Amino acid sequence: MIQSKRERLVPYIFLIPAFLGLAFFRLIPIFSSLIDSFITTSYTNGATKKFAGLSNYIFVLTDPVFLRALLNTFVFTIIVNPFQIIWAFVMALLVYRPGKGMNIFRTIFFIPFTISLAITSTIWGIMLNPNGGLVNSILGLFSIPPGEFLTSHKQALGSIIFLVSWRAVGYWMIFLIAGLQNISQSLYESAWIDGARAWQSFLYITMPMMKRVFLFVIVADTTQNFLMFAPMYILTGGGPQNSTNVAMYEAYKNVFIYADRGGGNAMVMIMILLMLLIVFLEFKILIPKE
Amino acid sequence: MRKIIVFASLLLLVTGITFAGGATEQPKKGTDAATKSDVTEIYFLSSSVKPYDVAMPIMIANFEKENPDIKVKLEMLPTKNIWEIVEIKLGAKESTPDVLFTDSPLVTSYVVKGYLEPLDSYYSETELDQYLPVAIDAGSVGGKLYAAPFLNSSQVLYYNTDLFDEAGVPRLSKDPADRLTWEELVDLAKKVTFDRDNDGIPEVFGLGISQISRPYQMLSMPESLGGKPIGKDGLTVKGVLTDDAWLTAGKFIQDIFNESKVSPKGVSASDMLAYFPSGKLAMLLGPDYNVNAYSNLKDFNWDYAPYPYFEGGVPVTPTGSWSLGVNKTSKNKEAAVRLIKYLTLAPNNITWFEMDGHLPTNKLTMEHIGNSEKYKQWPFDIFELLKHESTYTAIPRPSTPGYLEYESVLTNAFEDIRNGADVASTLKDTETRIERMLQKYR
Repeated sequence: MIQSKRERLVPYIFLIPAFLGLAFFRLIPIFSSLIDSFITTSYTNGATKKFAGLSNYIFVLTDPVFLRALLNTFVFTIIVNPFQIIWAFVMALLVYRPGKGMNIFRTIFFIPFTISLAITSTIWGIMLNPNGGLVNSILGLFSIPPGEFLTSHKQALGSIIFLVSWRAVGYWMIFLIAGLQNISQSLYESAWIDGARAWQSFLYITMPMMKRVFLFVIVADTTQNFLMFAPMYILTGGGPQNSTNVAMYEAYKNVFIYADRGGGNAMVMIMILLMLLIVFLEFKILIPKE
Repeated sequence: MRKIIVFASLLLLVTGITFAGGATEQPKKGTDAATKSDVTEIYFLSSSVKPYDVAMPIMIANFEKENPDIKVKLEMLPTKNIWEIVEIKLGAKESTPDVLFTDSPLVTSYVVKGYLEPLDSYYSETELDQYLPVAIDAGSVGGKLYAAPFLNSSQVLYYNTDLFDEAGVPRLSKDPADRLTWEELVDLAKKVTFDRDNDGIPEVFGLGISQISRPYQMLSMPESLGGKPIGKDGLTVKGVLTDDAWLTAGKFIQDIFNESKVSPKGVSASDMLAYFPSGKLAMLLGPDYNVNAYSNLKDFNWDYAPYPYFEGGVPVTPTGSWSLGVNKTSKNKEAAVRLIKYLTLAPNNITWFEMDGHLPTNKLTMEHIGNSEKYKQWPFDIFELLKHESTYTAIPRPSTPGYLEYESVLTNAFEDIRNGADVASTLKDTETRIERMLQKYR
């Protein structure tokens, strides 16, 4: 059937609002950031702006605190993504089949996501307080010595990974449940008739069939965690000893506290480039070959 | 033809509704417009810290009653958020907020960035004469007044007398000449730290520092040992943060939390204030204005003593507080200044003081304290001590255009030291970092 010119235009017209949203809230700010990253402000004679070439980039790439923040971001992302996805997948496997009470469990697992990240951080901050916080009280019942958690440079990043995962896994679980429920039962039945064991069905049916869902969850989770800094802002201020200072938080501080808009924007551009590279690699590795 | 008829009908309908509506609403609209054009709305960015959260809305309501031509849109935020909002909005040359809370050491920074309107031309000499000269200096840059003095502050040692009695410790002297040394204070704190269930976590800590890790309070420690907060020009810290006074003070701070363990880790500055009246702290180095809150608490027995100093050093007490500035790009500067004068000049400044309790910056309010019987009786006789401290021992935070960077990096350094980081390398790294950030002002 040959589509008329008007009909061919319809999908693009429907896309216009989304494209405008994307342009105004994403593309234009990124472009503005790019421009600002080449501008420096001098305060020696009032606030005067001038073109700085690559000097902002050189300045931030020779800043040991930013380099440490980049490292923290990678460590955070490398640990938090698999941790959240495995945790979410285990939960999804437990509750994806229809059954009595399954909806209640799904709801319970999802509830932490309905609490805002700021509130989650505050509540966990109280529970992880080294002086009489709930977690240390529970550890005390088992004669385990109290932890320092957010006040220790060895435990702070781990504590934040745990609390952000506690909130996020329920959300990713929903996508994984949808993926699991989409796998045709006939595949499992054929495998069972052929004598496949449960672990073989899981390895050779479930996992390959979930590849596309995993691709979405991994890419979306990466972009979310790569830019996350709210818990660090609320709980640790990037400390102790810069152990929770992630790159996006450092960029934020540069712009809004350190009066270095050019440097902060250079950091953001570096982050965008790195994230594009990571997402490209994820697509390259995970996209199922037809 | 059909299309033309439909279009014409719609046009008639729309214009008909507009005119009909206009005809009936006209007089009312006209009245509203006249009233609205006479009212100037100003946006006031204020701190939400206690007791401002209660006192400021009352003052604004009173102001609006006395100035019906001005409507104040009051936004109250925590200190850290005020700094960020100012950087975002005033950095983008927005015309609001019209009036803003300005921490006194930030005045230079805001002037350098072009955020604040000079205020001298809005004031008469008599009005300016109401402010204490030292407060005018704190709000001035290059001889021009940019931030009207509003509040001053000091710190004292509050202690829980019930816990002192339980530990068999006698009451402390109120005489500044007999003030404790930091070393004596920590020894005392050990006596009033209680771990009643022996689980290694005290139920009552001996000592709390209300503005823990913030330069406002922490600078008094190296300064008591002769250390300087910044280089003479306010644009360098090279060799300043790594001298002996800083290293000794840093080690002392670290030991309070990690060796003697008389003070709690992981408690923020805002939570520290709540720990004292709830009985979790036996002593608190806390702000002057807390006297109002504590005096209203039943079954809470407390007293006060002067701020400590280091043995062999000099007494140094924290000082400085909020002043009020007008946004340079504000469209309502006259109205903004009227609000500032209302809050900072007598007689309304006295009303504010009675609710707030901060050390004032207004001479007439100080006179009011001196003449009032209330301030000769305990616990309000604390103002005698506060007056002494602000006259003889108070050292303001450094004046530098890079104060926000200085404050932020130094706060993290003190927090790291508190959490056990190596003192010498932390101070060295901090010095390098601040030095790098101050480059843009040189």
